Amino acid sequence: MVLLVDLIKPELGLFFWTLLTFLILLFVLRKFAWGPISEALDSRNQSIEEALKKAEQAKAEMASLESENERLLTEAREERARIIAEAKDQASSMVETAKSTAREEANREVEKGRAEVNTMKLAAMAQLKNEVGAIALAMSEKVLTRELDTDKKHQDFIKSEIEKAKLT
Amino acid sequence: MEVKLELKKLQSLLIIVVLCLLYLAPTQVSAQKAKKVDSHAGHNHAGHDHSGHSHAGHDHSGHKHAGHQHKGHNHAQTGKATKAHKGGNNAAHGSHAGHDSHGHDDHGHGDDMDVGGTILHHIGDSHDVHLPFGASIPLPCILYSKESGLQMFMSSAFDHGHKEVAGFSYDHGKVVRKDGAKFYDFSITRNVLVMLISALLMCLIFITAARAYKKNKGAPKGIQSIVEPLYEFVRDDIAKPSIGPKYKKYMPFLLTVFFFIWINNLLGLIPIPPFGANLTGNIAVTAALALITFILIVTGANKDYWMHIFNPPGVPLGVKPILILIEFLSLFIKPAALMIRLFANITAGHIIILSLVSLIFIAGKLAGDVAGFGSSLLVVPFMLFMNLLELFVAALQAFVFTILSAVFIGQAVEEHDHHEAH
Repeated sequence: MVLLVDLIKPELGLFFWTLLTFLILLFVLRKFAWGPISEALDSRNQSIEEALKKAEQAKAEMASLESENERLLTEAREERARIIAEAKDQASSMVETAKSTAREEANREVEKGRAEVNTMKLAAMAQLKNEVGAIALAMSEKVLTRELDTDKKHQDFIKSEIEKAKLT
Repeated sequence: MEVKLELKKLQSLLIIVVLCLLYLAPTQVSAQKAKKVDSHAGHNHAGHDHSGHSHAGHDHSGHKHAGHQHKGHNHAQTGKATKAHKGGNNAAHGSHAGHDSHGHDDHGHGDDMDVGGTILHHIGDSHDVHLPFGASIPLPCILYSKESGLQMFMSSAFDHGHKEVAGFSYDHGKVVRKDGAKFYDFSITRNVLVMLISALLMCLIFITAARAYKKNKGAPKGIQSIVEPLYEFVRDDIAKPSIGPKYKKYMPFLLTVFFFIWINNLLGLIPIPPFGANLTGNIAVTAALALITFILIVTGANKDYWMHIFNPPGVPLGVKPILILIEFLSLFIKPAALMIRLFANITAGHIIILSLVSLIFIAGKLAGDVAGFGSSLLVVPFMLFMNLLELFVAALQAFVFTILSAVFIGQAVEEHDHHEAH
């Protein structure tokens, strides 16, 4: 019975030692354990949060970079197409000009040739006419000297014919 | 809900009243004690056949000592020896002392087995660490009285209560003064020793863990993976929901009290001396812890809380005095409930386990050694079950003490937006 009462009767000594031990323990652990642990956990949480944020940012950046790349690529492709087309145009136009120049040149040459031929023809014709006239004259002279000397009518006729035979 | 709460308060109040009565009781009890001791001595004296039996039963004692744990019996007997001595029965004292000097072979007193005393002795405190087979390690006694000043000596100086030192003598695990002069006992008792060991253990565990965080910035490793979930448990499941935004200030206390109670509960379950002490089931320890909670409540309380106690808003004038009284008492009842809850739960666990152990010896006494051995086959599984249950209770009570402390502190520091709601 005595001991049973002792059970619920706080001993001053143990009370004192508990208080002292607990308060020292509280102080020591707060300084050397709970503080550092709490700081470490907080800083780790923060770093994890930051890392996540950074990853998110990097992802967004990557996405924007990719779209930029895509844009650049399509631009480059367009540019290339444009350049090729231009080059083609240029080439064809150059060919065209070359062709036309050549044609003109050819035409001009042909024209020139034709003119020359013409002139030469005219000259030849004139010469031929003169020749033929002379031959005819000579022929007719020979004929006429035989027959037409007497006939004035023939003489006139010959005359008009020669006149007609004037080479145009 | 409200009614239930009030009932609970009333219940706590009743417990307090009973406790106060028990406080006042010792004066009466000590008078009874004197009577009892007398009668006991007489009984011992008259019962010569008993002592004869004990001597006759020496063959028993040899057997007993071969295979059981006995520190308790041993000392229950020592206690009895002292009682007998007090009663003035020199013959009885002589015979008991003789046995005691052998240290272990006085278990043979068949009818003298005092199970209750043994159990209470085990869950109480003592000034030395008892080892099996009667050996013990002395602990320092630190005693202060106005007359003799500060006295420091090892408890071995008492020679298990047979010698007096500077007017102090040792009885029933307690230092007493025969002349009745007032003194203060600040001895490093078994409980204090275990508490100091547990404090060192806690420093070792948690400072090691904290150091690990300096080196390892990544995921927790080793001891961190034990400490961190528990730390986060206290933070996220106890402090944050109970206290609210001001929880950070109280984290060190909550963590320390949680681990202090838990680790000491666990050490109390280790049946190897000096552990196995009923530290967290000692009312002085729980009182000290509850006092710290009380101080935190009072120092942390804001104006709203005091208003809530001394001028409860929205209450009719007639009811106010009653409510003020209840609220004012609840200020003390809350930590007192903490104190009693932990004390009662842990002590009850120890008593149950010790009672189960005692069952083996009771059976052995009543029906012989074979029955004692047979009963152990039944009792040991029960004990195993109880130990496992206590393992759970150890964590549960640490949690309960911590969360209730947090809730009480939370009530005190809470910011009220609406006074009318109460």
